[in-house]
Amino acid sequence: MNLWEKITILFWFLIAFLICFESSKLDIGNVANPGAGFFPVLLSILLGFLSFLLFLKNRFEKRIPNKREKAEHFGSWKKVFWALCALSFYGLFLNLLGFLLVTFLTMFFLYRKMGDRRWQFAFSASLLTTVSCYFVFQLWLSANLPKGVLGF
Amino acid sequence: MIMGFYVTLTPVNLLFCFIGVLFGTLVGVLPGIGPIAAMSLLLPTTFSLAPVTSLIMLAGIYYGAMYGGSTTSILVNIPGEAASIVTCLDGYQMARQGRAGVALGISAFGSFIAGTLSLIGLMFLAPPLGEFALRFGPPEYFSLMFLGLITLSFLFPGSMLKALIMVVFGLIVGSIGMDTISGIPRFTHGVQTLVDGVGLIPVVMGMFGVAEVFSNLREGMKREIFKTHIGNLLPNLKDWFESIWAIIRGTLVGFALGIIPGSGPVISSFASYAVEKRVSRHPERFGRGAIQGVAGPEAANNAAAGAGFVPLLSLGIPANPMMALLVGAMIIHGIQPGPTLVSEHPQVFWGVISSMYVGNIMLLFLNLPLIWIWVKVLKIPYSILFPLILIFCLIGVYSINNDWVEIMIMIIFGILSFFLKHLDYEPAPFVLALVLGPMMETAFRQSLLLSKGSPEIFLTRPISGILMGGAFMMLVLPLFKSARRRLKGT
Repeated sequence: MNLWEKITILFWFLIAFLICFESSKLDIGNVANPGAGFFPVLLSILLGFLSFLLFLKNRFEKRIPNKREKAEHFGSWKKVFWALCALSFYGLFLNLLGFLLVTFLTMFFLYRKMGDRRWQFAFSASLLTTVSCYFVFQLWLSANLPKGVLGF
Repeated sequence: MIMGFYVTLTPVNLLFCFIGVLFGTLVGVLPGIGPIAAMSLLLPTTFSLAPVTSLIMLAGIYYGAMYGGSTTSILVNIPGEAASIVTCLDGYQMARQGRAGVALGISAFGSFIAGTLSLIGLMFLAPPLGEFALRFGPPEYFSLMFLGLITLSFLFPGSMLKALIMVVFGLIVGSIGMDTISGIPRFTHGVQTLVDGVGLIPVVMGMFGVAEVFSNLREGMKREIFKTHIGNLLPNLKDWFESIWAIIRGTLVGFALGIIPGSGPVISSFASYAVEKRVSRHPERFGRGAIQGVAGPEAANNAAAGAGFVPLLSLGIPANPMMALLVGAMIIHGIQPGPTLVSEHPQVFWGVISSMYVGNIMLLFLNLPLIWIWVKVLKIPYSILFPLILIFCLIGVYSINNDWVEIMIMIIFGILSFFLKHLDYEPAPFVLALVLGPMMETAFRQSLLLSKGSPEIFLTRPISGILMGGAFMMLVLPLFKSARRRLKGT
C-alpha cells in the first residue's frame, strides 16, 4: 500500500469520525422517529466500515508495482500550484478589487506565467477576455459583478 | 407531441436549441471541458429565460457533446468526453488507415439514428412510467435511488469499493445545510452560504472543470492531430452493411442501460463495445479499425443520452450527474420533476422531447459539413484554452449568488477531485449521491415513520423489495467473482 493510499484511507476515517461527532450534537431520535442526526450517523458508520474494508483489501492484496508508483506520483506540481494560487487570489480579492481588475490580473498571470505567452499577447488577450466577460455577464446577463476599489 | 413541436418550433426556442447543440458539440470536441461542466457554466445564463427554453438549451448541450466527442477521438486519439473513450480504440485506427471520413460519417449517422430511436422510446415509455410511478411511496423512491447509486458503483470502471466510498461521501456532503424535515442547520458552522447546502454548480465546476484543468496542466496536453485528408464523409453501401446491425444493437444496449438510474452514456458505450466484440465473427479486428467498434458505441452513447430523460421526466430521478443538473435547472425555474410533470407542465415535457428531435437534425448538419471547423478548433493550443476555461468557471460560479464563498467551495472540490482521481476515485458517483442525498434521506425517514421503525418495509413492499434485491445482487456479485478467482488461483 503506497503512502498516498494510506493518507486517503486516514482521510476517510477522519471524515467518518468528524461527521459522527458532529451528528451526535444533533437530535438523533430513534428508528421509529429519526431525527436530524440519524442519517448522517449511519453514513459516518458506513464510511468508516468501507474505509476499513479498503484498508484490508490494500493490506492483503498482492500488487504489481508499476512505474507510476515508483516515479513522482503526481508529476509536475508547479503549474497546478500556480493555478491554485491564481484561483484563490480571484476568490479572495474579487469583492475588494472588483471584477475588472481581478479578472485582468488573473488572466494576465495565467497567460504569461503559465501559458508561457509573450507579454504583448498576454496583455491583449487578458484585456479582450475581461471586457468580453464584462459585456456578457454584467451588461447582458445583469450578473451584478462587484465594483471594488475602482468603483466600476 | 404536436403541442411539443408547437413549443419547440418558435424562433426563440429554435435559437436556443441551436446554441445548446453548437456549444455542446464544441465542448465535446474540446478535451479539457466536459458536458457537465459546460452545462454548469451556462446554467446561470438561463435564469432570465423561460423554463422550457432553458431546458431545451441545456439538453442540447448534453446530447450535442455526445456527437462532438467522437470527432476528437477519431482525429486525435484523445476522447473529447468520457463517453467517447471507446471510440478512440477503433476510430483513430480507421483514421490512420485513411478512413477518417468514414469513421466520422458513420459516427454522426449512427448517433442520429440512435438518438431518434431513443426519442421514440422516450415518447412511449415516459408517460406510462410516470403513471406507474404514482404507486411509488417513500420506500420505493428510496430503493430506486439506492439501486441507482449501487448500479453506478457496480458498472463504473475501476474499484467498486472506492466508488461506494465516493457515494457515501457524496451523501454526507449532501446532508450539509438545513434539514428539510426539522429545519435545523447541520454542519454549517455559522457559514451562511452553507445553510442552503453545498451548491451543486460549484461542486460540479470544481470536480469536472477545475480538476480537469489541473490534471491537464500536470500531464501537459500534447495533441497531435492525425494529418490526413478527411475525405468522403458519406459511408458507402459496404460500410452501411457492416455497421447497421452494430448501430441497432448499440441503440438497444444504450437505451436499456440509459434508463437505469446510475448508468449513462459512458457505461453504455463500454457495454456496446463489449457486445460488438463478442458477437463479431472477426473479434481480432477490434482495436485495429473495425467500423463496428465506432458505430456501436457511438450509437449507444446517444441512445443512453436520450434514455436518461425517461426516469428524469417520469419519476423526477436523475439517471446520472448530467440529468442531476437538469433537475437543478427545473427546480430553479419552479418546476417539480416527477410523475405529475406531464399533467402539470405538458408544454415542458413535450417541448423538451420534441426539441431533441429537432436538435438531432441540427447536429447532423453541424457535425458533417462543419468538420473542418472542428478540426481548426482542435488546433487551438491548450495554453490559450485553459485560462478561458478557468475564468468562465470562476465567473459562472460567482454569478449564481454573488458569493465568493462558492468560489472557494469550487476550488476545494477541484483540488480534492484532482487528488482523488489520481488515486482512482471517480467524481461521478459523488455528484449523483450529492444530488440524490437529500431526497434519499427524506424518503428513508418517511419510510421509517410509516413503518414505525421497522426497516422490513423496504423488503416487504413488492416494488421496493425487487429494487432492493437488484441492489443487493450487485453488491454481492463482485464478492462471488473474487472468491471464484481465488479458488481458481489455488
